[in-house]
Amino acid sequence: MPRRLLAVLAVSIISPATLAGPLDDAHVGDTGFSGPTTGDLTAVYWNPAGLGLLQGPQVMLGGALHTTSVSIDRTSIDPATGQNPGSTTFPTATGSGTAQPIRWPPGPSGFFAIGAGIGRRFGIALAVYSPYSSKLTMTPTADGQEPARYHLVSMEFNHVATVIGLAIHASDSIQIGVAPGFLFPSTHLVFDENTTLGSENSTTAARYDLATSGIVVPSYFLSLGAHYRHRNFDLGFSYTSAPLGSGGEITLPMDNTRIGLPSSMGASAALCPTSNPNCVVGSMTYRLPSMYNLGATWQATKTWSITAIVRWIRDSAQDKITILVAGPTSQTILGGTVPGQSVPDHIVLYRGFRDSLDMRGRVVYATKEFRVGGTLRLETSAVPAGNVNAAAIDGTKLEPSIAAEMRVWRQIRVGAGYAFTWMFPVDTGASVFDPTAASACATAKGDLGVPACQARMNGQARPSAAGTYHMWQQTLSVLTTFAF
Amino acid sequence: MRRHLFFALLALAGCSSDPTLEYDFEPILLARAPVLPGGAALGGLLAKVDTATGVQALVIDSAFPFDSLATTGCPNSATPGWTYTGTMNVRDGSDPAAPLRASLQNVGLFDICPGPIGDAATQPAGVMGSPLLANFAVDLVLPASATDIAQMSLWPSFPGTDDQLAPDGLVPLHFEPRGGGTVAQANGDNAVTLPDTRIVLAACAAPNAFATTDAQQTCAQGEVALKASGEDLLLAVGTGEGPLILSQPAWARLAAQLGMAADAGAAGQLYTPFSTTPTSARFLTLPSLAIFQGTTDTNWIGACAELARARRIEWVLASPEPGACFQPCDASNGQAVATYPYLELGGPLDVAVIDETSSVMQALNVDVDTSPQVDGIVGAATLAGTHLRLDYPNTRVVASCIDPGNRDACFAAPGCPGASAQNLLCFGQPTRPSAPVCP
Repeated sequence: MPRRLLAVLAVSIISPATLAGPLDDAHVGDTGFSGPTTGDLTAVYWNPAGLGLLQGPQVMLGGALHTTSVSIDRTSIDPATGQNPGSTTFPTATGSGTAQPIRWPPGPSGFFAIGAGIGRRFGIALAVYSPYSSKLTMTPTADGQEPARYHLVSMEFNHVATVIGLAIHASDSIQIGVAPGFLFPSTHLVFDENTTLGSENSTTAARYDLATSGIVVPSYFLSLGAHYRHRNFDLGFSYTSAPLGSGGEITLPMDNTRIGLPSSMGASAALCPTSNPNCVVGSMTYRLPSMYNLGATWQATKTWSITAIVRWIRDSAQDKITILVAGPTSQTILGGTVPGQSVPDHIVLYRGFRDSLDMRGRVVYATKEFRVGGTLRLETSAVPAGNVNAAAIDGTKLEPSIAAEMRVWRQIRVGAGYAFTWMFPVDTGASVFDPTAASACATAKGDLGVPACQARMNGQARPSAAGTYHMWQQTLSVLTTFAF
Repeated sequence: MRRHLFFALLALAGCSSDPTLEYDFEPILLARAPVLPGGAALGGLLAKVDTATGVQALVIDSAFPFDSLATTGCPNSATPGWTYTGTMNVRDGSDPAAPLRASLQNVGLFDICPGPIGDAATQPAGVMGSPLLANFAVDLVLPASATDIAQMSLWPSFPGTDDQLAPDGLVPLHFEPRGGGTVAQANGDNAVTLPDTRIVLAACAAPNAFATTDAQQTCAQGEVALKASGEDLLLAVGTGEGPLILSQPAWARLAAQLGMAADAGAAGQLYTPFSTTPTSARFLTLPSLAIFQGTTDTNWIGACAELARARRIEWVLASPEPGACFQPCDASNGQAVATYPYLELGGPLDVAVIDETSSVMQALNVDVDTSPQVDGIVGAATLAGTHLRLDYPNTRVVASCIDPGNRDACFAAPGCPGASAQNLLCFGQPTRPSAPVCP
């Protein structure tokens, strides 16, 4: 009975994993055992060829509780220009994000899969999980300041994948697999936009609050993989595409869009007539990365194994977020051209990511009833230091983790894992964001041959994000496997 | 043979891979060519572009079937007419400094000079035609006054569904892109498929004047077509042309409606990018033009009949009489039917009537084998006073009036999903769920 209770608890604690910066979940499936050489249902994500190693029917249900904490010490700015440094200082900004998948639309990092190995020839599975996610909310300081407001007030990006995986034995030692899937995104992003060409001024900041509504039309992607086994050595390789048919782009209708006008415009200023209070509609476009996974496992003894995993994440695709907004013809504020008296109907948020490498070394001790493992993960930064801002915090990360799994009943195994991720503090140095670029570009009449206008076009004509960024994360994952 | 060569050139022009489109969503200021020689500067939209011999005019023409840029500038009789992959640097057409506003790199272009625009003196060096424009939602602000500057912004798409935009006063007019086809190449290579990128919309030319204070028009069941006024047309949207261009047969139909002579109008020359030599035309004016969607469905009854129906329903909604009733021909199952969105433009509107064998009309109907005949082009001068978003990715034109208060000049009417519906505004009026259908 206690074992059954443990299993039920394990199923019920389904929680997500998130990151504050690039859209990625490093712990799809579980925290300590899955990878490109794994022969269970997590292979749908890691390497669909691994489904060829399934023996009989299997069901997996789990998730990960994931918390993110950040702190930002912004560099001072010149109050006249907004450039660093200057006499205006900022208190430390803090933010956090805790997500969980029991929500609607379904949250990130829950993992559910059902599948079976058929006659040692095929493996087939259906899985639902979230490969790309990010969540962070910045907390106002005690005196109400929001030092990171021009880059982030809060954000939540979720992408739930529904995937069918299929693997076949090409030979006794080689399996190949394919896993086409649909990706259902949902997004909520809040940030402030300076409506003047000058320095930061909270009275002239407009608040953009954009969110999707319900489940939107999905995009589709494809994973391909191969698995090779020779005696006590396994090698797995897989590729997961970015969204197909759109150049990796996802364009979302932001049906719940609100623009809070700056207080400087006065209380009477309004975008929407009283007859149509939800008059503003928006869209958001961004890219998702493709990914390569490579893993090798050496079964050193009957109980000990060593695994190395490398993920190459093509984060460089995530260059910017484009936001477009439309409103009523009866108003002149949205899309107007008078600084301070209008709010933009188009905003580009610069990202400028680069590819990152996620490298893991793992040791696992396993018996028939029990297994335990330890993993050390090192991930390079997807965000160059100068590009770091509150909405894209990333640096070199080190993550030790442990995991254990035991058989609680004949057909039920329950595993749990814990990981602590520490990001080496990032000092941005000179920020890529230039608050003087907007006015310089206006002076140049928008000439794209001028660097300031290139900066404006790329979404870099925003308040500086220079400072020192800290981030740490904790992940607690639980995974229950029913193997029949 | 020449036609095949034209298509082969066109295909090659569109074969370039991985174009890089660098733009910033901000307005690009545009000049406007004369509507006709000596006319107001409300015609074809003009940016500027880099050529080897300096900065020259670039016409923005949504009706033009390909993109061109004469590398050595125009006029230049030595341009080879062949295709190449190059860069079109689009500059402000109005600002004397001509700042660079968009760089369209690695795109397929014809090395050819288009015809002069509006008059003989306005010679562009290239055309940003429908294949390039089709990469964007092209936001055009076309003021009614020639002294106000026209603007073009390039967006990747325009946000919002039709249902979301209608309450904002925006009129979505959907179209099926046209102008393409499958054509064999003259050199014997495989046949090529040309993209459909031209916007063609239905229109009702010269309908009767209307005011909600007029007497109510009656319409019994089966009379919906009989009660229509004006002439149905199918028009391409041509931002590089000035007047409303009509083929002679289309004008003959319209003239019969208006009781005018088929050869009415003053003879003159029409300058368009389609031909390096002017096209003989007759110039006259029309009182108004209502533009509808270019797509059809089972409920579609034609542009003029739809306009008359929309006006009858608007009359009921605007009527101060509590017992105002919908006409039987506009009702189904005891309720008013849905109307289609439309944009009505008041005149006088400049019209150029040209021969159907002219190069302009032939180019417009290269795909006539599979599609209805296009009667002409609604040019930039006809569209003056409007704010248009040529939303190619969503195959729609989202239209509104710059001055919504001047109905005689421009009236944007989003579709009314049913005048009996609750909590809606139609034609700026609250719907009347309780309004009966007239006996």
